[in-house]
Amino acid sequence: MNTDISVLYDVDWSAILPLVLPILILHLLLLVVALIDLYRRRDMINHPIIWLIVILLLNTVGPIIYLIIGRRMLKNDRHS
Amino acid sequence: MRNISILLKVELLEAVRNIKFIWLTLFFTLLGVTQPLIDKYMEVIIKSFGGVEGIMIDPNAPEPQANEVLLATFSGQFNQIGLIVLIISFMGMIANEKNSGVQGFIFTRPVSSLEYISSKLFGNWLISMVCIAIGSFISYFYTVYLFGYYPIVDFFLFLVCYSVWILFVVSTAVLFSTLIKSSMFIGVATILLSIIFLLAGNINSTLSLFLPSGVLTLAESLLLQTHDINFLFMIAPIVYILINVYGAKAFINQV
Repeated sequence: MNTDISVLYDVDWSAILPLVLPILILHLLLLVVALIDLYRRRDMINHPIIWLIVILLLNTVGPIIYLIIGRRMLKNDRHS
Repeated sequence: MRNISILLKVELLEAVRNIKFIWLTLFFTLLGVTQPLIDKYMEVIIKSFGGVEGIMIDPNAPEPQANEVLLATFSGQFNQIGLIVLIISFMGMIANEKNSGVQGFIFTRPVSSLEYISSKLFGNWLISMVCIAIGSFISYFYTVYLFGYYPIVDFFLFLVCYSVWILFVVSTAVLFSTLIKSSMFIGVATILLSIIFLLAGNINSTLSLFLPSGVLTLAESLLLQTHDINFLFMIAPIVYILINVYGAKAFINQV
């Protein structure tokens, strides 16, 4: 994985922005959907803080994992 | 018939409550938008992300056609990561109800197991296809905008063929749900089986006549508008779906 963030300064943003923008917006929408759902269920699910970290740090995969698995792992639930 | 429609409504309502419609649509739109953009702007992307002196794209390379890009979207994105996430999203459909006792409660009513199975099958198929259709139509408009015109009717036909493949995948998940208790293993088994079928379907076209993934070969030839369109490919997936449904019916009361 490339962890050198300074590369981001060299990017020609004006050339790349119009093509990246819709993808960024969709990512953001997915993130917001997951966060709203997490906020509404914060008292019901197990370890909401850990799920918050997962959603924020894992791009695309994090919100989807939360929405599939995380929101079903309730407190006091025999089956999860 | 009335039972099926009621159970179907329950299934759809559950998907609305779980906000599954929203995030699955968002996910497929994301996948669908990414592929045409990558194909179009490959040069800019390679230039921007540095450290690639000496790499160049052949300037004489022909611009990809709209239908080739659409095919890449489906075979490269929807059929790989898209299929995996889709299967994970519905792997618990029967196992969760069985473990929490809802299934036994449903069968105390005059509902036959075939009605229950087909409502699960068509409910999840409908949810998946609505999300995939929205995502792929947005992808279609992107592709048309970036790569030139492609008739929407042909794309719709392609989507109809693709939906048969999705129906087969859902029916496989239904069959495994009646055999295996843990929803995680159901997901893994379904993903493995569908990937095996996808790989085997690409070996040659005579073999894929007998495989459910043959319908993808038909869809591909419809999209690329080649002249050897063979509708016999439709038979195998339908036979496999019927086997899966009746297999599930035979197993559901035993386990």
